[in-house]
Amino acid sequence: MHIAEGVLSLPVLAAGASVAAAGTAYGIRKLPFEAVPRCGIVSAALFVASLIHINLGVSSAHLVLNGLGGLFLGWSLFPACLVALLLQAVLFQFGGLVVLGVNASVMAGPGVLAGLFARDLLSRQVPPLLCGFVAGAGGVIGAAVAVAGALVFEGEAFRATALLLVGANIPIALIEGVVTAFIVVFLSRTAPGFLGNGKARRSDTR
Amino acid sequence: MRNRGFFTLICIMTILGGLWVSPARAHKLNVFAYIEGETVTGEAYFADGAPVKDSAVQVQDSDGTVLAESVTDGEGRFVLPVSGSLKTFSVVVSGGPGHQGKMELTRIEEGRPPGQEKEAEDGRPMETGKNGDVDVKKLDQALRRIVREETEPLKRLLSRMNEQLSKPGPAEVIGGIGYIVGLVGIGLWAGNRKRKGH
Repeated sequence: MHIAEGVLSLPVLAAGASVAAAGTAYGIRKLPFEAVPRCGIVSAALFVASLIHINLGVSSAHLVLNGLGGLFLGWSLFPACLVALLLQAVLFQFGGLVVLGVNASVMAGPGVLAGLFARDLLSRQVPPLLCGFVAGAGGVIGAAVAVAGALVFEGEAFRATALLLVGANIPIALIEGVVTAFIVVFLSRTAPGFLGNGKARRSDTR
Repeated sequence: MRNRGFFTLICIMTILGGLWVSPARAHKLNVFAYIEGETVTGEAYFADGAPVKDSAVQVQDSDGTVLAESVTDGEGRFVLPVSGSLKTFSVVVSGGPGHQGKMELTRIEEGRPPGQEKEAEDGRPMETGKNGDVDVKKLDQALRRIVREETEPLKRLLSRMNEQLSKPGPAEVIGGIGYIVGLVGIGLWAGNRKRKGH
């Protein structure tokens, strides 16, 4: 989900940077002390996820893990995402420093929404398998729609681009949904405190 | 319980990491091109080496004005005309929504200064007499063709090397993770100070 440098115009870049800055500030404020290592692990996972290569016939794609991150961290996904994307831009030349804000917003925003939605589902006793799938697939589809939203200002026909991007991302969304579902099922058995904001669910643990 | 959760997550991530066979396409678009007289030849590929097929290629001058346009072939290659007077320009490849790669090129002075050509012309008549002038042109063309053909593997090699260099290696991955560990350390340290302070 990286938009390359030189594609977007200044207003879009500025908007993306503002959203990312606000999200990061809010995310850091919401981050409890105990969750700092968790935030770091999610950041490392996001950083490496772009290298995990999945062959889909003629095309290839990589895991995004933004839904899983949103489920683990809520709003604190923003700082984790920003750090991961910064390192990807500097070390891998994926994306770029100028588009960092837009890329962070486009990945973290839908990830937070999908994650919080899945948390809500979890608290309503919806099976963890389904919650995980919703978080994983929702995060990817949301990010694809957000990328299309950013590109519409650059003259690409929005509907066509959005459909193209969402269509291209459906297989990866399914894979991501399944991967996330398994992780969530596993953690709901072994460490339920990990899902949700921790404190509320800590009492559920043995 | 929490530690076990972390342990599990790290295990899962290690397993996922094992799936990492080659770096993903990851939307990074590389362009590699070189100037050849009045044309610019090159290829475009994604970070994993997959060619950027059937995508628009443009030659732009330093102001961003489009001077020539074409489309990459099935192997990501392209050939575009450029005027010989153009000293610096960039080749921009657009590989679909949000994907773009650019390479800036500067025309290096052709290895033969004007005086040298004269020398060749002077030397020519000694061997072939009157028709020397025509023969020199043919010879010149033939030599250029031979040099082009002979250096083709070298250009391919350069292109491959460029492709390899653009892939992220283990050093970058480990360095990035180390950076994140450091940030977590700073966060924990700052949080701890704050807690003790209050």
